[in-house]
Amino acid sequence: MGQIWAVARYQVLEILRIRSLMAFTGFVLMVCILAFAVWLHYGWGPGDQKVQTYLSYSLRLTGNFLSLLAIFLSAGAVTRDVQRREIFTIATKPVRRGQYLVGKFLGTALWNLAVLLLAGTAIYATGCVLAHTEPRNDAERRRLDELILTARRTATPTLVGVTDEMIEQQARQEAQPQIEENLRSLEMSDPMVVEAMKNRVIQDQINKVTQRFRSAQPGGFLTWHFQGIRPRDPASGSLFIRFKQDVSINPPDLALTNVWFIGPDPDVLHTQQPIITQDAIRTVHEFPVPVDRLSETGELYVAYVNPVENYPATVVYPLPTRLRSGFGLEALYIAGGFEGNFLRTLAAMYLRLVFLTAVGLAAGAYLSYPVAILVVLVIYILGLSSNFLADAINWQLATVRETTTASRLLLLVFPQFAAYDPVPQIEKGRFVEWALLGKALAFMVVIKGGLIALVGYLLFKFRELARVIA
Amino acid sequence: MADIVQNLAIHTENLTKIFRDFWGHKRVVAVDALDLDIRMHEVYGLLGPNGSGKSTTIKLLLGLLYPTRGRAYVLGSPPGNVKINARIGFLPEDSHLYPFLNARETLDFYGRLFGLTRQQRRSRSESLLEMVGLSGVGGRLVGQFSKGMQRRIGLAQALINDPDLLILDEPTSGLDPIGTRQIKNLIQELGRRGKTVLLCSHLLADVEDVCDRIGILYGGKMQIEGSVADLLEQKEMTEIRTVRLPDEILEQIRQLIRRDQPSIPLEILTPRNRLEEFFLQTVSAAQAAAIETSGATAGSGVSDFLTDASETISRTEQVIEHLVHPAEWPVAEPSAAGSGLTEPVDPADPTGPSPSSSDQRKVLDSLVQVPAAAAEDENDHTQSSGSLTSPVAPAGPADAPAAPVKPASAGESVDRSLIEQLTRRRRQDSAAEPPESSSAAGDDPAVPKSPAPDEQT
Repeated sequence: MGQIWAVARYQVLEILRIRSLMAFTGFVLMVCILAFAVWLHYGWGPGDQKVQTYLSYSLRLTGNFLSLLAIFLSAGAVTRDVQRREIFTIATKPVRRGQYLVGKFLGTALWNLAVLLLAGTAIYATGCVLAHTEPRNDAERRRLDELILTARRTATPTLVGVTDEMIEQQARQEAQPQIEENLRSLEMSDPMVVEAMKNRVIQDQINKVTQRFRSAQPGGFLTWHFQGIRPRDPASGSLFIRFKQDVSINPPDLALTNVWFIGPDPDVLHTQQPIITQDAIRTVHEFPVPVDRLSETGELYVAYVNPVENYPATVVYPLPTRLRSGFGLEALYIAGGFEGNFLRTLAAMYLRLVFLTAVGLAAGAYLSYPVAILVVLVIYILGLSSNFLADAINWQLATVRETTTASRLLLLVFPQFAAYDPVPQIEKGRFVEWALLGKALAFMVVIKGGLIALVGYLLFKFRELARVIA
Repeated sequence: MADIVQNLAIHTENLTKIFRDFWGHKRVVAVDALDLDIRMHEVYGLLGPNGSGKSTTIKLLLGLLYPTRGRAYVLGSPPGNVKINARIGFLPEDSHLYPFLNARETLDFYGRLFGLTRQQRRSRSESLLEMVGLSGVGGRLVGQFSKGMQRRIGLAQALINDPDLLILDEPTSGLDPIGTRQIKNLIQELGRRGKTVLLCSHLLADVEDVCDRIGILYGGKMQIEGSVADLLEQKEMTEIRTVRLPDEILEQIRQLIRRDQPSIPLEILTPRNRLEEFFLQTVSAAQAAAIETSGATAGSGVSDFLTDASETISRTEQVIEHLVHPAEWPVAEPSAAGSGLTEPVDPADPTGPSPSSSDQRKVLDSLVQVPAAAAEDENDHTQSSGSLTSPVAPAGPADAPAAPVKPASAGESVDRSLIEQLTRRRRQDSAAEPPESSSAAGDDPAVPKSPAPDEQT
């Protein structure tokens, strides 16, 4: 352990003594963040949106800059020693190669942590100042407190009286003619191809039937059921209904009149007073509901009525898609404070840095500096675009069942930074879930990072240190 | 076989290293079937021109490269063994130290890698910095050091663990003559203390001065191997050294030889100091005059923590040593060395006792060296002594009265007039109090203590 700590300690010292790097890091993290806050202060716009923009910008800038820094430092940690041959004097001391790598990892990871905490403190302090100075009226201040500087969890509902089995049964019935038509016209004989065709047709029909159940004709209604809503303060405050509507035919002013009945019982249409809202179509809206509408067990019923004055528009609550999740209808409730959320955000950002550090060290353990940098940058960019890649692979999984194994392997290999990115959550005041941190730790750091680090260790253990690999 | 490996500091069998290109084609045979045995407590010199495979051999021994064929054992284990590494000190060819650390931090870092306690690290660092003459610049970044200073700190890091085996790759490259002399003295002293030293160099004088045995590599193969004395002895020559003789006596000697051996070549010469000696005298004088320098100072003797490995010899071996080597070795009288004719002592003389290498060296030293006091007294005589060489005086220790076989020889013949001259000039320049003699210079075994300027004037 003493040897590991020695290597780690002097790795940190080395980074600290690259003065130009220190100056540049300070400039990016401090000057740019503070300058942006000043620029926002003198800019135009509601105060709550200024704070939201500031949080989004500063956290993304910090995350991306520190990611690049982690890549460059970790990829160079070993390659510098090998190319400058300082490894000769270290490898001939009683230090195992694994200890050396762990020391380098520890030093770089500690340095990343220190800089992230420093930047986080600056962002938090500046954000507090902005939150104090920017709101110009109570409405902005309330929106800031309730929608941004908070940690809200999301609950998704089920349709009352509609089960998945019911949907699937109906979809299979409706799909049967299409399947028979396909079998006749396409002359399929391979059982695997026939099975794939059947699955695809049934899945399409399930989506159509589900969409039909989520629609309300003029004069019709839908009742949604939420469970497990546990607000931090169940005695007072609000929860929020967030929705987005589509229509079969556009209304003249592209807006709908919506009537809502919200309460703790299934029979809300008869027990609760209506809430009437006017909302533009195909746009996300939120309205508050007093928290006392919840049952003691955390259940909530929301009945939506499409009034006849919307005729002839049928209102549709779109399904969550792989590209856009969460649309349709959901309930948001305050489950924690902003400070805890901010710390969890920093933790999630740090896990990405840890992963990149492991990958950088693994690449640098065998490759020369420019090649190692290139490899890690490619992995980083793949990770950043993981949403698109995952969607493409998932689409393939859903439609072409024959290639599922290869596609699943691809999904396993790609680092999915977007899936573990906390910034979209915190900038909307959403709760950064512990589950997200746990998944990031388990899948990104331990499994993927660990596997890559193991490969790097094995390459380093058996490589000839006196040979520079170009 | 296992016993052989255990009893040798380094043992290689058919050690071969072939460098291949990316496609696996053979490019260079750097080391070719090398069989090398280096005994414990021996100073061994590996010689060879550039590209002869010296450094590759060292890298193979340290596990930095893997052999294509053959095997190597270092202190009884294959290379790269972590426990064995704890007993090895290594100075690579170009020091290769972190440029962002200062000298103290560098030693602290390597001390930590050896698991030394904070107290040990601190005391050893200070002691080593003092030893290599860098105590005054311990806070400067290594990256700002000159090459010679980097070699010094590199040597210090190689010694921080008090190694049993010291592997030095071109230890004197980039060093000034003083540093070179100090490192040679240090190697000799380590050899006396029973350390095993593998010295790799293409500077022949360095190896000749300090090594017990040498091997010469060329094309990755061992060309010849043996003790320095055996390999360099000119058995067909005779050399007589004495003080300056009058021309008539020289003529008589010449006639005497011509009378019995009229056909042999004969040359009578007045010996010259080597430039190295002259340089050392000048710088020693400057150090004695306490002229300021921003570079390395003279350094002190060997650090105290460097243990005497001969103490670790088992009791049985000690008894055997005692039985084989009588306690009292014949030590020549100083006068015999200083003014009379000396006869070369054949260390391999089968008729006499066979002393251990260190004892042997002491005896040889005492026979061929001028004691410090005698040398100072007879400085003028040394400068003008004559030498009869037939036909040409051989180079090496016998050629130079102050040869580096003895640590104190470097400044034995420091010219006092030089010291006085420099001291006087410094006084005139600074108009300050007369400086005291440099402690660094005074502690250096390579640079004998010079009288304080006050005493001289």
